[in-house]
Amino acid sequence: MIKVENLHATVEENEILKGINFEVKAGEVHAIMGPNGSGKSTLSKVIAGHPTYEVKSGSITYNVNGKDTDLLELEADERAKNGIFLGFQYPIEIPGVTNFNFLHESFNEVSKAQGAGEMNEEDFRAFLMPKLELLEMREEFLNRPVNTGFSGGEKKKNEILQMAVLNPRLALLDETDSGLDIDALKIVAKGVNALKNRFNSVVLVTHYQRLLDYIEPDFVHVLYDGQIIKSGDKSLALELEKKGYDWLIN
Amino acid sequence: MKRENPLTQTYTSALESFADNEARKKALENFKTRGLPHTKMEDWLYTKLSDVLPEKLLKVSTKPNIKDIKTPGKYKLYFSNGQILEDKCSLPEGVILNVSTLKSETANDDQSDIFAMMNGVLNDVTVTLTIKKDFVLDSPLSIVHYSDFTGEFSAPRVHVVAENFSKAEIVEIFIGEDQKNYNVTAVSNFILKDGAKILHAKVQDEGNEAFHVSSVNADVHRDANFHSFTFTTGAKKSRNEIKVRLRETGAYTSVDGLYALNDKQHTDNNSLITHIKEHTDSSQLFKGVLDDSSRGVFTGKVLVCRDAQKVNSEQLNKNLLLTKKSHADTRPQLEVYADDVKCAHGATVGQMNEEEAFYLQSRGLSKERAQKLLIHAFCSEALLKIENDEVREFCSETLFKSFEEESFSHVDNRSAQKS
Repeated sequence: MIKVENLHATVEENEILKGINFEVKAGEVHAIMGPNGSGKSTLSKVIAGHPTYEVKSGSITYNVNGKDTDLLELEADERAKNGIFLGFQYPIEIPGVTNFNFLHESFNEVSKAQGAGEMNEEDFRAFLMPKLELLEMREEFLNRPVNTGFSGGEKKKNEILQMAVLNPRLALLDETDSGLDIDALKIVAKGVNALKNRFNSVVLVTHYQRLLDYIEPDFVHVLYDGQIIKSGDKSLALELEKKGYDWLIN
Repeated sequence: MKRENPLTQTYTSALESFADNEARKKALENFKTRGLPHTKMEDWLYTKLSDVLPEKLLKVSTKPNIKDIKTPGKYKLYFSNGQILEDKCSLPEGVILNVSTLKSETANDDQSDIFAMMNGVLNDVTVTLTIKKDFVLDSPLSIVHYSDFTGEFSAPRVHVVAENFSKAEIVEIFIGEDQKNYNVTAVSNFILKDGAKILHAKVQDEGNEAFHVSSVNADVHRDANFHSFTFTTGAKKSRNEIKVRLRETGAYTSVDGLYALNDKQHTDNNSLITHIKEHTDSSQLFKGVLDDSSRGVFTGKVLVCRDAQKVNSEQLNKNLLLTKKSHADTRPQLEVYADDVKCAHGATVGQMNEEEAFYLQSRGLSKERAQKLLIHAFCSEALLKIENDEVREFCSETLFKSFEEESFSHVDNRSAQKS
């Protein structure tokens, strides 16, 4: 699915990623953990194509239907059209644009690019209903301006709703669990698990082990100071929960 | 040393020939105390008028004409070239129209407002609308000011008296022909008696060579609610004076606005909210989006008098600069003489937020489309202050036609409006 090799990235001349290597295959769930400021969010943003970060060296190769693409050549919207999704830690508020129109436009852009064509408003509404139900969101939610006046939990659910609509091949979820109470966390996890299949992949960027109780990772990586310093299976997350990060750093 | 605008003499003598009754003479005297504005005056620091004021002050002589103009609401009042077209007007039964020469006792102008004083001398008639006690308009009233003349000044004046517990949405639309350097100095005054509720939306979409100045004055009495929305997207240069006085307990005002400019357009918004009595509240949101080499000025003062305890006031001005050459000046001001009040004010000037554009791009929207949507969203926050759907929708359409479409004609033609 995606192969990151020796990735170095800077923002305003500060090197944040200092040689990242990892690979995600179709059907896998990876968790990237690490202390604050280790570069976790940066890594997901660089993969999604955030323009602020400059990639100094290394490569990101994205494989769709047996064809390799150099991801760094693509703009953020082109990456989205190729099935990459970033769930934001802090989703942006867009007053004056309804959630429905935003989802509809976003879906049509991506769907058109993938050759599946556009959907009219009526069909799209019908398409949305089961997804709203999955995330236990009311329909009136669609008529509200995007994320405007949403609670923290509603914003995160809205991210997963967007993910459900766009049905990405690779979903990067950046601290989707932060700021969620246990009920909202369960709903979000249920949503992600329902969308998960053997053709797509999920990368969870998280500070806490708690989320991994609900979305089980195949691999866990520890990111520290811009590098992956340890990889393992889900037992690594439990060990981190118990011992913290210090034993790995020192 | 006394500074003076070099045109003041010429304008004063021209005005003298029109000052033929007491009220006009009084307005002229007030005009003379300050003379025409210049940039050494504290409240005209950022707006010089030398490029727009004609060398001679001439009152509009071009005959009125009117064309089809889309307006919100069932009720209409038409002005053209400063004159009211009475036979085209349609008003509900609870609104009484009176057309008369200016009487000083009915004018609640701010006496230091230079162009309001000029209007006082120049205007032919004062159009007074009295909304009867308890009368509630079932649909907005649109007042159209259409201009099709060159070089001269028009001076329309509308007074609204809202009797106890009446309610109305009034939209004043200023519109005119492009390529004509006409001048408009308009006055709109409001008296809100106990429990009255008025929305006054002023939509300034004048022709691209026009010079437009307007003064809005409101006296708000007990438990009355005055919402002013000043929307500026037209004219080469414009100035909006908005003065609201909260005269009695329970009076509330919301003084909001949006300016969306491009090319070399310039607008200057100057507002003053005066809390005279205790338990009066005010809120203010003015937003500006500035493209090309346009410039937007905001000066907003909230004045809390000594007797005005238990006052809540919040004020915010936010500007979005779309180019390096666009310019915003913002001066939120707070003057408080009471000791038990809650007042907040702030201002921002910023550029397009990369993080926000990235969010939209990461959902498959092109960079251009993302920027367009964000500008639309920025403006929407201000427009959403307008509670009446029909009025808000009209402003949104005007914004699209007069600003968004022009500013982003290079972007795909998908309508930003649809959102």
